[in-house]
Parts: sequence; C-alpha cells; structure tokens
Amino acid sequence: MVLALGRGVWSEWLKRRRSLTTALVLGSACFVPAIIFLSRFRRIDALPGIYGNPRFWDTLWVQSWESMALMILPMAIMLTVTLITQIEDTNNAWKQVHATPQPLSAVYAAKLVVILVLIGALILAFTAAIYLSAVLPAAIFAHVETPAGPFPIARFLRRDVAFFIDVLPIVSLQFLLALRFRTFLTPLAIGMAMWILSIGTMGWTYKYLIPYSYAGIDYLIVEYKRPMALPAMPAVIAAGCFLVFTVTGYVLYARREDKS
Amino acid sequence: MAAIETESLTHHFGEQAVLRDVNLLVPDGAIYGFLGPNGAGKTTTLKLLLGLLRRQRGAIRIFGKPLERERQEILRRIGSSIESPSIYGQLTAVENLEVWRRIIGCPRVRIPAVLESVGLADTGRKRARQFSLGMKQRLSIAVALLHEPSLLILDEPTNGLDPQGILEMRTLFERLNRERGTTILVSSHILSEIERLVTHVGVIHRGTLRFQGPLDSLRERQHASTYTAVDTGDNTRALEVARQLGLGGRIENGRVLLRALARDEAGRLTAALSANAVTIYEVSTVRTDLERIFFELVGAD
Repeated sequence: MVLALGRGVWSEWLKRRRSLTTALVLGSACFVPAIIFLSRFRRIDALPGIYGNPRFWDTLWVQSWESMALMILPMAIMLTVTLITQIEDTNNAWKQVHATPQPLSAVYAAKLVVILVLIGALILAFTAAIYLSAVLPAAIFAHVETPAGPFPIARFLRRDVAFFIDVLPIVSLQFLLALRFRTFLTPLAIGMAMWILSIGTMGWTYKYLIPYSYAGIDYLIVEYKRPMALPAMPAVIAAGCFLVFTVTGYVLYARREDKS
Repeated sequence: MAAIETESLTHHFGEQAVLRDVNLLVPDGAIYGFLGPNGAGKTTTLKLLLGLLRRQRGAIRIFGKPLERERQEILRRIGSSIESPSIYGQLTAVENLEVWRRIIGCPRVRIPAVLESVGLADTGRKRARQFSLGMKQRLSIAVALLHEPSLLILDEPTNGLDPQGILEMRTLFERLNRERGTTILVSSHILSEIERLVTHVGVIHRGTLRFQGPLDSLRERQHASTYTAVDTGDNTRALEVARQLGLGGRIENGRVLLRALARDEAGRLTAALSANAVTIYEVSTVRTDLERIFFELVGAD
C-alpha cells in the first residue's frame, strides 16, 4: 500500500504540470501581501513610523491573515481541490486510472496527498510573501528602516500549522464533492454556498457546526483575541471533521458502481 | 487455458438489461475480435472485464483467476484502452506515458520503445491536446503497451485512424501476438476492419452472444451460404430443367438461384438449358461476404 501510494503521488504530481494549480497557489499566496506592499506607496511618509513600531510583525500578520483566513484561503482551496480532482474528468482518464494495478485507497489517498501538499505550500508561500511585503519597502526606500524586531518565524509557522488544520474540512468536503459531481461548477457552487453560510453565521452560537468556518473562528480567537464559546479548539473540531469527511468520501468513491 | 472466461455474465443499467448470460471465451494466445453494432454491449463487457463496472451477476475469470479476488494481480498483466483515449491534454506524449509508468513501475526505456512502435516518436514537446484523434488513439495504445502486458483489451482501437494507421496497428498487433504471444481482445463494429487480424470471433447483439468461435467456423458459414445464380430468357423452364437434373433451386429477383454448383454440375446445367432452347444470359457464383454473415447474425431477431 505504501509503495502504491508513493507511486500514485509521484504520478499525480506530474499530472498537475502546466495546469492552473501552480498559478492558483502562487497567486492566492501573493494576493494580500502584494496589496499591502502596494499600499505602502500611498503613505511613504508614514512608513518610518510603521516600520519602527515594535509590534510591526504582529500588526502585519493580523492584517494579512484577515482576508486570507476568511475569504482567499477557502476560495483557493475550493478551486485547487476541484482542479486537481477533475483532471481525470477533463481528460476522460478515470477508466484508465482504475484499470491500473493499484488499490482504490491508493488512488484516493494519492490525490488527497497532492492537494494537501499544495495547500501546505500555499500557506507557506503566503508566509514568505508576508515577509517579502515587509522587507521590500525597506529595501526600496532609503528613509525606511528594516522592520523593528526579528521576523517571528517559529511562532508564525505554528500558526500556519493551526490554519492548515483549520481548513482541512474544506479540503476533504470539497474533495468528496469533486469526486461525486463530474462537473466543475457543482462542487464549486456547493462550496461557495457553504463558505457564504460560514461568513453569515460567524455571530451565531453554533457557528462551529459549519465546516468551512474554522479558519475564521481561529483567526478571530487568536489574532483578534475575541472570546468564543466552543466545545473544543477549532483545530480539534476541524481535525475530527476532516477524518469524518475523508472516510465518508472514500466509502462513496469506492462504492461507485461505474468507475469509468 | 482461456485468457478470459465469463460465465452467465449479466448486467443491467436500471431496468434495462444490457448483457444477458454472456459466456465469453478468449483462448490464450488468440486475437479475439469482439464484434457488434453500437450499443450491443461490447464496451459494457470490456468494462466488466477490467473491473470498471461492478459485476452484478455471473463470473469473470482472467488467466484462470477470479477477477474480484485477484484484481490487482490480474490488472498488472493487462493493457487496456476503453472508448475514447484517456490522454492528459496539457502533457506531452512522453509525460503522458511517464504518468502511467510511475504507477506501474516499468523501466523508463519502455517509453521511447512504445512511442516508436505506435509511430509517435517525433512528437517532441507538442502537447497532447494538439494531437489529432488518430494520434491520441495511438498514444492510448502506447499506454496499453507500456508494461508489456500478456493481455491487451482494446475497445475500437482503430477509431480515428486513417487507412495507413489501421494497417500499421494491425501489423503491430500481429507482431505482438506472434512474437510475444500476447492475447488480444479487440472490439469493433466493423467486421471488415478486423477480419484480417483476428483468429477468433465473438458476435454480440442486444446483450447476447450470437456467435463465438474460430474465424474459420465463421468462414464455413460463409461457404454454406454461397450459391449459384442463373439469369435466363425463361426462368420457369430453366428451373424445371435444373430440377430434372436434381439441382433443386428457386426463382428470386428474376434469377434462378441454386446451391453452389461444382464445375461439372454447372457444365451439365448450361448444356441442358441450351438443349431445351433456354437462352442463358449469365451464370454466376454469389459469395456471401463475412460482413453479410455478421449482419445476419445481428439481425436475426
């Protein structure tokens, strides 16, 4: 199984070559940092004050993750999962995949691993882009010092891991939907509806029941210090949802009558 | 030993039965032509053989092993191409093959070898989406050949190929069968296209197997349906003469139709017709081609 999974991942990784996924990952990672970087040009005179603030990195981190956690990351995940999963539908290749000597579990897991690697890469690239959005203005403008204090890489990476776990339910549910519906729009439309629901119910007591909401909840609790009554930490609930959706998705996939 | 053997294979899509008690028998080392009109059940059968459809009733044994219990082991020895080509459009021919090579785990040298054998060695960096249908079909066959399988299952592999391409593929399949002993199950709805390739034939229509056996037994049917036609100035009198000679016969479409006459019988008949003052316009032997036999088999409802 491990060998089949390794081969499957290796093969899946090649399939995404020249697809939109790399551009999507990089574009999503750089979008908010690019806007923050460009916004520095509007208030050049204020930059020394901003960069001299001892809480510079924390402020930038909170600013950057606001749109990312609530909007861009869920959207990027929906698009990436649908693109990767439906490579087979677009190219009429499911029948060939299922006629290869690999267990169905390896086929399923290999795609999921590639998606998770891409989402992980997106979050890491986003962190790198945040760093660049901070240091580039300092490199460009002579009157701007480098940011006050060192880049808190260890703390930010820990938060990256938390956000990664928070979005796992979106990954697994979108994966289930993309395997179930063979059109590009249906899983995307369902995902969008779920995402809108998660935003709309952010003030609701039971918002944690919406599986697309955990990154937003986590952001509000940790970065905004907003207290929320939850049955467990967002990452724990998210991990549980991921497990349930992944197993359910596999059962539905494996039991499909027609695998061509 | 049979490479493929099905027993009472039956399949329904909803209420509609698409296969009914199909007992397919593909001998080891054969080139088996699986014939039938569109919608006859060919592709459904092939998908069941590859485990792409869940078996509902009946049994499937490949290389003597039950498919469901030893699916992976069996698929390791099968190369297949079902319906339209499964090609990743954004990848080159080499990259497409690399996708499958990584899963199967065969040596990288197989990629140039199979591309050469299907005539796609010079496609370079051209992406597969820019290929013609014929080129995609060739690439699909290259994928099937990649791991040197002992059984090839090909669904209408000549679709989209020009006459030269069909000839090249036929030569390739014959060579694989001759040199490596590869068993080939090839489906088609056109008998003439695979007539010169196959050693065995199965004819399916409306989900039931109408004929199965060596191509020679189909040819025997062809011989049995050959007849002699005599066009004369007085067919009624000509029929009387033929019957007096013990040749039987009937009048149909303005001609006297007799069983296929031997050379001396034809001589005696023409002499007798002349002696009875019956003008002879034409005596001909009418051979029923295999295509007609095929249509008779599938139109026998």
